[in-house]
Amino acid sequence: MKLNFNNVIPIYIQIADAIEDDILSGKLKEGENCYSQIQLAKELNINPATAAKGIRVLVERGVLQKVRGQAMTVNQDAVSMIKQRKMDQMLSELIQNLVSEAKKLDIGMNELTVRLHQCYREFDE
Amino acid sequence: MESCAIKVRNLEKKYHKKYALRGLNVDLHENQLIGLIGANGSGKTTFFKICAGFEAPTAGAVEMYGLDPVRDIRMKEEIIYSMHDLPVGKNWKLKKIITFYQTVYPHFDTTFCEKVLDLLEVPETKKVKQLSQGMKSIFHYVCALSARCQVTLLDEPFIGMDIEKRKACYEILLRDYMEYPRTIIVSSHNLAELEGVLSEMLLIDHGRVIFYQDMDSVREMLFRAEGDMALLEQFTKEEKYLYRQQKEIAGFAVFEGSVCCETAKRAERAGLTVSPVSPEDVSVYLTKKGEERELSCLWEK
Repeated sequence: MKLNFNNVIPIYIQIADAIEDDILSGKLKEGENCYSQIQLAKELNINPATAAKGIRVLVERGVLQKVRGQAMTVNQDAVSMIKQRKMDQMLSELIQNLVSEAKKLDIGMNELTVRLHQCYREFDE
Repeated sequence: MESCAIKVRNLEKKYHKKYALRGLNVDLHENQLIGLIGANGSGKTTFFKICAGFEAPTAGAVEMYGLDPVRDIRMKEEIIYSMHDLPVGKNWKLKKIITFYQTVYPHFDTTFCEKVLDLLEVPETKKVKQLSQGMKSIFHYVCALSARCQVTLLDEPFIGMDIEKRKACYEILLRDYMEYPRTIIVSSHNLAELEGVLSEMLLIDHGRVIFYQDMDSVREMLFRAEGDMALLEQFTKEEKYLYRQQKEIAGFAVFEGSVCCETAKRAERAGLTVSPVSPEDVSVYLTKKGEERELSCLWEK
């Protein structure tokens, strides 16, 4: 996990996104405890208030929940929720950027599609 | 609601007819790690000295946990003020100074102090005059943390330290604050390095408070739009900006709000590139006077 203070994305969102990535990769499992505010603060060298804000974002997104008296746990359907949200939000942003950059370079839809196919195949290999 | 540790009311301080503080008002929250930011001569050290009870204000008052730091002896052992170059005996060995701290501050953690000095390679057997500027800074800083006072005031503690030591000191500050939550105020001109460990920021200018905010809000306080001069010109005609810099090739303007606010969205639609303004730059833009000075005149014959 590494934070970038010069990024357009706010620090606490970066923390939330990084935790989501760990859930997707299976480092954090559904139904198990998430990192605590203190753990995150120590690990990332960040003020605990900011770490708490990152955790709060994930509670709002429904990825984490507070089991009474216990630490934050990863929700049972967290993985599918994260994937859904990423699809909805991040993917559409990425595609928008891709298309806007392509337009600047006068790359047409067909050429862009060909390149996408090519990139996809390279990842599968 | 957070409870208030330090209540500052209409604080004024005049030195020889010149105001260092001119009506400073703020309620500092308890157990926060606060960055005190301001340009040279903005009143940071004066503010610290009055909080520590070293100096009396010309007008106004500071209340610390309900007590007067100047008159109430009970606060003395719960406040520590430290800076990079405290006037201590040059011929004193560090060990002797540590013993002095122990007698003054009842919560002083000697074991912690010795461990940190050892880690940062400052030998206790040396005398103050044998230390480099960086080592002196480390020594005073470590002693101030080890005192574990309810109110810890650190005035430019990192001056002269190399980058590795500074980073170690930031991490130790954060970890010690988490182990022993207390109200810590630290002034620094190196906000970019320090901002991550802070929870709040107090910006002062000309002896007055500009803002007192949590760090995450400061990071979303201003945004910057840059791009083609003609586009920028048009956009700044329609929108209220805080600061604008026009160079020959490209320029930028600074606006209030986060990169997600409505103004930022309009800037993007107008073809400008939007980016957040770092807390360090926020402090510059909010205290700037007028337009950028043109430096070329310095080399005119």
